[in-house]
Amino acid sequence: MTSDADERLREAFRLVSRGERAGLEQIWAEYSRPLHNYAFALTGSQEEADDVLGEVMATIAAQGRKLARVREPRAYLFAAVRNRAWARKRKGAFRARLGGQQETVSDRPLDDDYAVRQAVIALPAEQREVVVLHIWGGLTFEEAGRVLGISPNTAASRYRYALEKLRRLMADGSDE
Amino acid sequence: MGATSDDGLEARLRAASLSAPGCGLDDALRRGKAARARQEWVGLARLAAAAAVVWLLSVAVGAAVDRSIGVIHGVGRGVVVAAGESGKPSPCGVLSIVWRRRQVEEMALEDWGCDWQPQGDTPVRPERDGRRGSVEPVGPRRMGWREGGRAYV
Repeated sequence: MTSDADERLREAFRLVSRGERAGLEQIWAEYSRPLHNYAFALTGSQEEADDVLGEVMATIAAQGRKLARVREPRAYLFAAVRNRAWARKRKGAFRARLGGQQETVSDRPLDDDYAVRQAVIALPAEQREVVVLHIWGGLTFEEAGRVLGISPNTAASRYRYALEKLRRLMADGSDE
Repeated sequence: MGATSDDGLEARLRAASLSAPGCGLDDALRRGKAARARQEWVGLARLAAAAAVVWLLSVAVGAAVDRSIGVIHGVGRGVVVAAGESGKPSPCGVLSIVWRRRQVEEMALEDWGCDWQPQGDTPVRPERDGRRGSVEPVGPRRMGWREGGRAYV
């Protein structure tokens, strides 16, 4: 799946580098949701995630020929989201809404999406990033490690810790 | 739901929707371009602000130096009032330090009755006429060791 997805994305990058809109559409169709998920995990806000995604797409559209030289397009996309989110955070464009969550999973027992979202948000930032990149982004631990600047083993162990915590959080939430 | 296996938990996570884009590609691009343009303007504004701060600092340093040497500026024109106006527009910033110092020195010398040009009793190196060694040495001549002076090696 990974190599096929990489190849499709590389082709989309080639199209974008030639100025063809079809490339952008292809990237949007396949990656808008995973990238948005990752942006949401970083910012804790749907609106901020929309802004980050918009900036990333505009940056990709403006890259031109440089895109054709990208070796790992999927890691590149997620790294772009991460960079944009951190740049916005540095400039104070948004306040990190994560970490200080007062609301717990059991506060509002609505649907499963909500429970999952709250459990993911309750994770420590470094574990949350690995989970989102692996589960919703479809990245391998090696790719996730490259995006985060850590080794694949570190990414894998963070993922294991995150799963344990998620299991606990979601069990607590569904028991009540 | 109780304890879940890793596979079950992963499947549950994958099935859930964490978030979704709130707009289409065109809106996202429009939004992103606007944000990039805003960032460029903010960058330019910061650059301009930094340049203004540097300019203000240089003016402040110039004024501090002037004050330290007793120069008072007239309001509006920035000319030296205490020592008399020169009639020239005053440069501002760091360059003004050199120009004003020189002006003050000139006026101080005039006050003391000194001239800018060397006086008659000041040893002046005469012009060479093109021949090597044609010019008499200026100032007291050193004596060689044969003449009872120190030997210079």
